[in-house]
Amino acid sequence: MENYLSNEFGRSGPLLLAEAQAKGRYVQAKRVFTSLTPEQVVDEVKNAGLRGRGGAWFPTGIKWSFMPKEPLKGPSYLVINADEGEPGTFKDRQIMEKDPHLLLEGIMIGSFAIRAETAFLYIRGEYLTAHDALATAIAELEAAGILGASAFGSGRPMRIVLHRGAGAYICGEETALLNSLEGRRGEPRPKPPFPAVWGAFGRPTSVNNVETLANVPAILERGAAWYKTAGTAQAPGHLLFGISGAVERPGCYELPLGTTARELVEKWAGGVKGGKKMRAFIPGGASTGFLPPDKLDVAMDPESLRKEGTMLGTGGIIVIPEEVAIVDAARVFSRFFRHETCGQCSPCREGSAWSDQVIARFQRGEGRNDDFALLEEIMRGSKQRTICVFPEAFAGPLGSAIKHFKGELVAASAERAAHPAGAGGATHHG
Amino acid sequence: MAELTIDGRKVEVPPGTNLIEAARKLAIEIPYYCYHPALAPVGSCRMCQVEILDPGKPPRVTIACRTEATNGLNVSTTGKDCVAARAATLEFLLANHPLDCPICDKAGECDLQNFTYRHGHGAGRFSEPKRAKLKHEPIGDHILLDQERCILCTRCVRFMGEYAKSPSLVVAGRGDRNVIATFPGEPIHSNYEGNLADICPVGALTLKEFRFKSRVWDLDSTESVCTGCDRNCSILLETKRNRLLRVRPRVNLQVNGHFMCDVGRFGLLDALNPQGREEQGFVKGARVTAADAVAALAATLAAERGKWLIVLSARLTTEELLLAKTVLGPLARTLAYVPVEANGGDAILYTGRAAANAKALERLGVTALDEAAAAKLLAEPATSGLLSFDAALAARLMAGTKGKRLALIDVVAGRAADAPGAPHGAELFVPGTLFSEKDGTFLNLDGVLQRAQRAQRWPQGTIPETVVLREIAGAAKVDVTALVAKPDLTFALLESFGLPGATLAQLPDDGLKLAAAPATAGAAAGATA
Amino acid sequence: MSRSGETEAKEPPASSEDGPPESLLAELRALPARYPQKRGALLPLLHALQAWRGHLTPADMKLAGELTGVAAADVFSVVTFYTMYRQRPVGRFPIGVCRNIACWVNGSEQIVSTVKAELGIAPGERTADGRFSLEEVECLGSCGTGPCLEIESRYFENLTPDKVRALIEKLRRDDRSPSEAILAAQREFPAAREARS
Repeated sequence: MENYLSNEFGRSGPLLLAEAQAKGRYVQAKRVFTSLTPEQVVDEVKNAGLRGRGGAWFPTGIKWSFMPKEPLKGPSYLVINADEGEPGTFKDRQIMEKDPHLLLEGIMIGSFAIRAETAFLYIRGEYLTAHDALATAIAELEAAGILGASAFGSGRPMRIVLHRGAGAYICGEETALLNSLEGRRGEPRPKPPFPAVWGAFGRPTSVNNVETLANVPAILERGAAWYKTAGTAQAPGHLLFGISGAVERPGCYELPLGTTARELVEKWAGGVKGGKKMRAFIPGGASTGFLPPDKLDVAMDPESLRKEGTMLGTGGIIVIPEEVAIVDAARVFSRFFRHETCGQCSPCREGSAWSDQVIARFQRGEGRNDDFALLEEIMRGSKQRTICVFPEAFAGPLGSAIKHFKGELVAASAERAAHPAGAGGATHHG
Repeated sequence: MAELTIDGRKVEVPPGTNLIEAARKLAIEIPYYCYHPALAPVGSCRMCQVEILDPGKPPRVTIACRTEATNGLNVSTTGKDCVAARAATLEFLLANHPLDCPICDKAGECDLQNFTYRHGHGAGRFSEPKRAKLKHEPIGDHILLDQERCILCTRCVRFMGEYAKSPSLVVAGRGDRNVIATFPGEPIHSNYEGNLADICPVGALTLKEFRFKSRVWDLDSTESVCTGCDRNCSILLETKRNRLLRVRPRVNLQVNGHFMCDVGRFGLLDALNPQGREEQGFVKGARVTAADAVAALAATLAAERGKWLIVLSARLTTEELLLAKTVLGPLARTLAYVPVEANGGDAILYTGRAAANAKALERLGVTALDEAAAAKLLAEPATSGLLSFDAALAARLMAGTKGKRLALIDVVAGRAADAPGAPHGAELFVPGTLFSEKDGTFLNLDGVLQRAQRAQRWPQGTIPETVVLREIAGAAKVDVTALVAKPDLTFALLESFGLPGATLAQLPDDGLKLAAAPATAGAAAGATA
Repeated sequence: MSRSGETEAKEPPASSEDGPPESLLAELRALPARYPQKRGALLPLLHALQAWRGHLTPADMKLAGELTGVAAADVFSVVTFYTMYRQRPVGRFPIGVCRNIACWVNGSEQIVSTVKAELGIAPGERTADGRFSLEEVECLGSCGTGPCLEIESRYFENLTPDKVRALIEKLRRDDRSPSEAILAAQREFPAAREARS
């Protein structure tokens, strides 16, 4: 299967409307708006087996089918989760900066499928360049009459509202994002009610990730059967794998789901930087935790990674080189999650801070024998006991560090206790 | 009704009841912090975890505050998973808590202490440096905030927004930097601030007025009602060595729900700890014992039957008013009361009418006179003087007339120990007693008759109003046997309203809601002699 | 609002007590209508006010609250939740260096120490002339092009100490409005090296 997501990634700026249309953009959106029913779109996406690329891998067509059918008693909304913040993840940014019309066409089709006439595109505040590219692209569509009172002359109104976040990882959680869109603190909401019932501004809402929607035009163009020729049976299609950290050619690679981590790291990203050895790799963003190099042959799809006790997450691989101590990498994450928990649930607020303090102690060479049991207790006390799954996220790197690298943690602490000079801070060259 | 099982025991509750309240019905404690029966549940403290038992499935741990009772639901509060979950939550909450219980006003009634004893680990394992945050920071007229003690349950935030309609407290920050705060430089301003110290489950929000005053277990707590307005909120008067140290609302869903206002709370704290209280009587300018003053007053009223304007006060208990009406009605030229207008009430609890028992005066059919009419009556030559139970009102009425005599029965504060002359130049002065020094009832604006129990001793030498009235009845030969033959005055009162008799002790804790008075009963059928 | 999500270059306020000029106010007043509930406009309003002043004062928060029907204390609560909103003045060019995993593995600590050495300030500080400030920030989504720093959400990627020194030198001498200077510096900055399949 040829690439359908990343064709424009080599550009220096965004592909503009005229050129995008010349390449076939909006042909599918027009067909959908003028000749298909929402059910037909939902069925095609369901049949294709498209699953959400934001990290949860929930089937997109099923999510859409939760939305109310006609007759409508008020608006439904599509909300686009462009709050890409999972460390190791930078794929949505490429789509938005380089090929905004790919996303916007996906948004139009997705909105049609759930009978939404307004879509809110929630983009993280730091992605200002992407924001500008999208703002320009939306203005182009409005000027062309593609967005507006009658999209493609279909009589259906279609509006896309761009909304900037303001710096909060937790807003990637869909109900936190909805609160943030409504001008509130980005605190996840208790569920139920789920967004399909009570979403943005109290209306039925489907929240979909950028890359997920970017898959939709190709599915409509070439059909579900074509889509399923790539990827795995349970997770078809291509994924934008981000590869970062200590590799020769970090970047965003469009490859079929199920490609092995080894192929991604060694073939595509050129192996560990400087020909060094790998200490660990992270398969799918910070919250998926560390895997030792002997797991590199794992297939990068949700099911295979679940078997390894972790998750595909966002598919952002991060390579940790040999010269980095696991304890220091774990501290980067514990500090991050402590910084980013919203803090409303006591187990998560306190657990993320406490575990960060314990890891910091290890880093200083002050680890204790009973700390591992304590950390396990902190994770157990937090997981599945809160409004959202944030504790699962902070337990990812922590739990995997203990599971796979316990010996190294003990050794690093002992060594730093003996040579305290270089200790302190997230320093890895000490 | 939904029938469910909690810890093997069946209970029926209205559908929609949450599991905390359902368990409460069985006297099963499910601990909680963020939940409050008067506020919307947010489910963030994660303390109220229980297990839902489904046949053939492993127990599912969930929070009780946001789980509704449904038919057939089977709940365990003792399963090992939920017990461990609650203990874990407590350990998290205690991790950064300063544990300064020995100097904390909340100690003894603190849910963090109590639940730790009953649901916590024996020892915490947190050995890192604790977070430093703001301590004893004034955030309003009455409240001090200690951010270190705070467990961020956000009850206070929701109380100010949902109940007090003054969204002035918020969570500021994120994660473990979260704190309770006000807008920069703008303290909270509300008539409901005092409640914050009550709803705070820990010692994070404490009252300036109670700071370091007493350990709570040294307080004597008495059920009473607030006399700050005619809402008569159910309260507790908390005293130590006869001094009132704290006033708190008591839950009464038919009167005040869970709260009370600051006018009442802090007003009572002043009014019931009067400084410079006149405890002796006066007769024609001379200091006498209260007993001598009562005797002189009784003799005067007996001798001058039908010549005095007698004005009752809504500060008196219903029982005192019934007796006063019976005794003084036949002796007065006119027996009346002056209704008090509302001033500065709000749409929550405070009515602004500083006349706690106004409804009782109305219900007893005492004549209502406005101040001008009362002054006019007093000025008439046939009126020889004014007997008032309200010193301030008496002062105003007397100011407009000349040559009239004044008899006063009231609590008068702010006097020097050896002040010459009677308060307001009264010819006869009998030191009154506070409602908190007696047992009695108050009838609120909605017709709820509630018990106010004696919380303080009256000063030695003073004489409660019922005894004063009995003395007058004796001297003037007014027959009160019909009243005093009853088990008590409350019993007589209810019968006088045409209701089945009940003694003061028999009244329900949340009061007795009286049916509306018949339309014919009113001022017209009053007690004018 | 311009398309850039920032307000057009306007004269910054002469005094911290000044409110926004009428032209900005008109833009602000138009924002709530974009949302089904006025409150939705709170984040964009705060962004616009901060883009103009450089930070948010209590008066700015009150104004945002009035325009969206949100209590002032609630606006304050929102402001403190999000890391991008600032309640104190920062430098004309506030530098945020990513400290998260991919940037850190590739030497973000060296980037921080380069900025520190060049400017003589530590994270959380501002230079005496008010031109620069420094902080460490969490992941910017520049993992494939790290180390990365941002100045008012404009990214400078694939950093080396030399590139950082050159960038600071350029901004030291640019007296145009901050947004113009930052965009100009970004245009002249070596393009990020991007690998792809």
